[in-house]
Amino acid sequence: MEKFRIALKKGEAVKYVGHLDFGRAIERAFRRAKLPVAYSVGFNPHMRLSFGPALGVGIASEAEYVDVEMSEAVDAKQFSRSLSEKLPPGLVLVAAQPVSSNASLAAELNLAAYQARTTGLVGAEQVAAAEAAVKRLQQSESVTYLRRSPKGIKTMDLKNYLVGELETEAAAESFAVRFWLRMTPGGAVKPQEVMRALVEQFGFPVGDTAYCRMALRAETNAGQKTAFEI
Amino acid sequence: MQLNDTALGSVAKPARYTGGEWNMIQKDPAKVDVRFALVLPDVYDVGMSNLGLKILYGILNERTDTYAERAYCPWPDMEAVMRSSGDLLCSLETHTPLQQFDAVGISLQYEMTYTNILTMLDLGGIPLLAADRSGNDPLVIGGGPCAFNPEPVADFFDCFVIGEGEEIIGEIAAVIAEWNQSGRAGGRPEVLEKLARIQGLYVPAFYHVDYNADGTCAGVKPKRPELSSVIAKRVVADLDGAYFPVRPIVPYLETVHDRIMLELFRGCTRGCRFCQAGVIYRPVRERKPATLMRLAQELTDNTGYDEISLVSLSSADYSCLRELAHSLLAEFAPQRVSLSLPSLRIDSFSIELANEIQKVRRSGLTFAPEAGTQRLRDVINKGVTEADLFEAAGAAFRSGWAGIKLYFMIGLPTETDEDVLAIAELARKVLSLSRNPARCKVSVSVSTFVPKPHTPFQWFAQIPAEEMERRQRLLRGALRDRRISFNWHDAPTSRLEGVFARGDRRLGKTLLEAWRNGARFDGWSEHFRADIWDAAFAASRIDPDFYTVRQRAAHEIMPWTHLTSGVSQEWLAAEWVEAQKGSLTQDCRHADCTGCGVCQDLGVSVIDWRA
Repeated sequence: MEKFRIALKKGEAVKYVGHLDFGRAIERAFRRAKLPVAYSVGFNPHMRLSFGPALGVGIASEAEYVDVEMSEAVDAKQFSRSLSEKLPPGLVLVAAQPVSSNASLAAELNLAAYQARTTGLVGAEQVAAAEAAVKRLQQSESVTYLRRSPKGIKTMDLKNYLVGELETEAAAESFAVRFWLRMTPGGAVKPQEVMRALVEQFGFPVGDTAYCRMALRAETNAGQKTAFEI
Repeated sequence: MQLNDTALGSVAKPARYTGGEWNMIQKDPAKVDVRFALVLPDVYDVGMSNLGLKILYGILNERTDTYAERAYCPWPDMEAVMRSSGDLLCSLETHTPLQQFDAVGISLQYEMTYTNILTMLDLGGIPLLAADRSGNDPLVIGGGPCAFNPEPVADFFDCFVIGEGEEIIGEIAAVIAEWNQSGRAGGRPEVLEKLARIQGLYVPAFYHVDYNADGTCAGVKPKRPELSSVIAKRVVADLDGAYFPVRPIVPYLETVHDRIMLELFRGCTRGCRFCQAGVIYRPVRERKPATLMRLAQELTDNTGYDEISLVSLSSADYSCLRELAHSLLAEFAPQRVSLSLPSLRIDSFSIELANEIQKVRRSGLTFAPEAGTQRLRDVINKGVTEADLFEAAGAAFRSGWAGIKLYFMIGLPTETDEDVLAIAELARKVLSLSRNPARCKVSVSVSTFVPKPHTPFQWFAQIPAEEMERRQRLLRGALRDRRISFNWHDAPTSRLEGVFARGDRRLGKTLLEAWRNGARFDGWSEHFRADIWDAAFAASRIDPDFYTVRQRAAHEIMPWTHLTSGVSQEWLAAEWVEAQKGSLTQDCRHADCTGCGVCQDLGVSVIDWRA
C-alpha cells in the first residue's frame, strides 16, 4: 500500500492543541480533502495514520511528521494540494513524499531541537544575566531537576538529555535559547524544564517564554538522519 | 489582546482560549457596521456544542455589515490568572475585549449558568448592571429558553429575545447598524427604544414590576403606553426554508457534542407536562428529507466529521425517519460517516432503527420512562406503558446491546413513596429481560423535577431539599444490585435551579451577592457552594422557599405572564387539572388540535411531511 510521509508546521495559533486533538484535526483534514486514506479493518475502523513523537502542549513546531497509508495510488502533487487546502489555519503542509520505509516515526525520531524565546527582559543587565545563566548551565557537570507530578517527585539530570551546546541569540525584543534534547525509552525532558532550571538554578531572568520545536532527527549508529531519510 | 504564554501555559486545556478553528470566520472588524460577541456562559467545551449559537453565528456572519465572534466562560483556573494579570475577556476570533463590541448576545440555556454571565461581563470590562452602562458599553442581549422567564437576570441585560432567533437577529443587527451610522444619535435610550419596537424583543427597563403585600407579583407593566403589555415569542414558520449553518466551526478540543448536528425538526407536541421545551418550541415544524440530505452532505464535506447526529426534541418522531435513515445510511456509510439517534422513543420501531444505524454497539441505549408507575406517567402525560418499555428493552437485549440507561425524575406532582420504589422495581424487571443478566448493566439516572415557567406544572410546589434527599435515599436502598448503577442530582442544586426558574426580578441582588462572594459554575458539582448561596439569600433578605416549595394559586400572576410562548395560560391551567386527574392529552401532530393556542395566536402551523 502506498504511504505518504508528511511534514507539517504547527504555528503559534494552534500550539495549545494537544497531541490527540492534533491527530483528530489531521484526520478531519484528510476527510475534507477526500483523499483515499486507508482504514483499519474491524468493528471500529480508523484511519491508518501514524504520528511522530508527541509534541508538548504549548509548543509550536517547524516540523511535525505524520505517515498516512493510502488505499489507492495518489499523485504526490495532487495529494499536497488537496490536503493543504483543507488544513485548519495554523497548520501548514511543508512537505509530502511517498515513502516505502516501515520505520516508525515515533520510535526512530529521538532527537529534538527546541527554541525558547523569552520576551519581557529589560535592559542589557537582564540580557547579560540570561547569557551568563546559559553559560553556567552549559558548564555544569550535572543539572538536577525535580519533576513534581501527582505520582510523586522524580529526580532527573538534565545533562543526560541535553545534546551538544546551547545556543543563544539576543534580539531587540526577545532572547532565544536553542538546544537539542534526546528522547529515550526511559523518558524525556520538556523544554520548559530546561528553562525552569535556568531560571531557578542559574538566575535566568523571568519573562514570558514561547517554545518551538525546530527539528526532529533520528540518531543512529550511522549518524543523524532526517524524517525523510529513515 | 491575546493571552500570553505564561497565562495559557498555567491552565487546564488552554485551547479553550485560543480559537483559530476550522471554519472560524475572519473579517476585518474595521469594515463592518456591527460587531457582535456571541456568548454561551459556560466553558468552551460545553458552549461550542450549542446549536442555537452556531445558527446565529452563521446568520450574522452572512451579513456583510456584521461580524459575529465568540466568547465562553473562562474556567476558574483561567479566571484566577486573568484577575491577577488584569487581562480582559476577549473574543476568540480577533481577541477583542467584550467591552468593545456593539452587542453581546448571551444564550440562556440553564439557570445554573447565571453567575457565569456576571463573570464574563466583569472580565469583559462591561458594567454588570444595565442601568450603569453608558454610551460606548455594549448592548447586552439575552435569548434562549431561560429568556422565557428572564426576570431574575433582568438587571444585567439591556434586552431579551423571546423565542427563535433566526429572523429577529438580523432585525436587531439592522437597528444597531443604523444607530452606529447615525453616530449613535440619541444614545442608548434611542437604540433601546428602536429595539423595543421589534416584535419579540423585551427591554426589561421599560417595564415596571409591582408586588402584592404577600410578596407575589402583581404585574409587570410597560412604563409607556406605546409598548406592548404582552410580548409574544418569535417563531420561524417555515423551518425547511430557514437558514441552517453548513459550515459550523470544527473545534480542536473534544467538545460535549463533537459531531454534525442535523436538526430534523423543531418543536414537540407530545405534551409531557413537566417539559418546558415542549411548550416554548411549539408547533412541530419538520424539514423535508431532501433538504436534510443536502444539508448532511454539505456538513460532511465542510467539516470532516465522521458522525451525524439526528437532533430534535424527539428525533424518533420525525415523520419520515425510516426513509431518511435509509437514505443517509446508503449515502454516508460508504463515506465512512456514521449516524446516531440521540433520543429514542420507547418502542420497537426505535430499537429496529437503532440496530440499523448503529453498527457498533457503543454506549448502550437510553430510554426515559420518567416515572416508575403508570399512574404517575399518566399524570405527566408520558404516553408510555410498562409493556412498551419491556418490549423495547427486550428487543434491545436480543439485538446485542449489553447496557440500558433509564432516565427518571423524582419529585413530580402527586408522587408517593410507592412511585419512587416502583423505579427500582422497573429497573429490576428490565434487567431480568436480559438473557444474560450477569453480564448486563442497567443504569438508573434520577434527576429531581424542577417546575418550569410556561408549563402545566408552573403552579406546583417543588419538594423541599430534605425531601429530595429522603426520596433519593429511599430509592438507593431499594436499588442494591451491583448490576444496576444509580446516580442522581444534588438536592441543593435542584433547589437553586427551582428558585431561579420561577424567580422574579428581586433575585438579581441575590445573584450579584452570591457571585461577589465567589459563586461560579454552579451547575458543576465540584464548584457549587451551597454556603455562599445561603449567605446570599440571607444578605438579600430573600426566602428561597417562596419560589420553590410554595404552591401558586390558580389566579396568581406569574413574573413571566407578560411574556408568551403563544400557548395560553388557560390551556396550561387545564392541563394542570387533567394532570391531577391522571388523564392523558393526545399529540396534536397526529390527532385533533388540543387548543393550546400557539398556531392560532402566532399564525403558524404544524408541519409534518407525512401528514
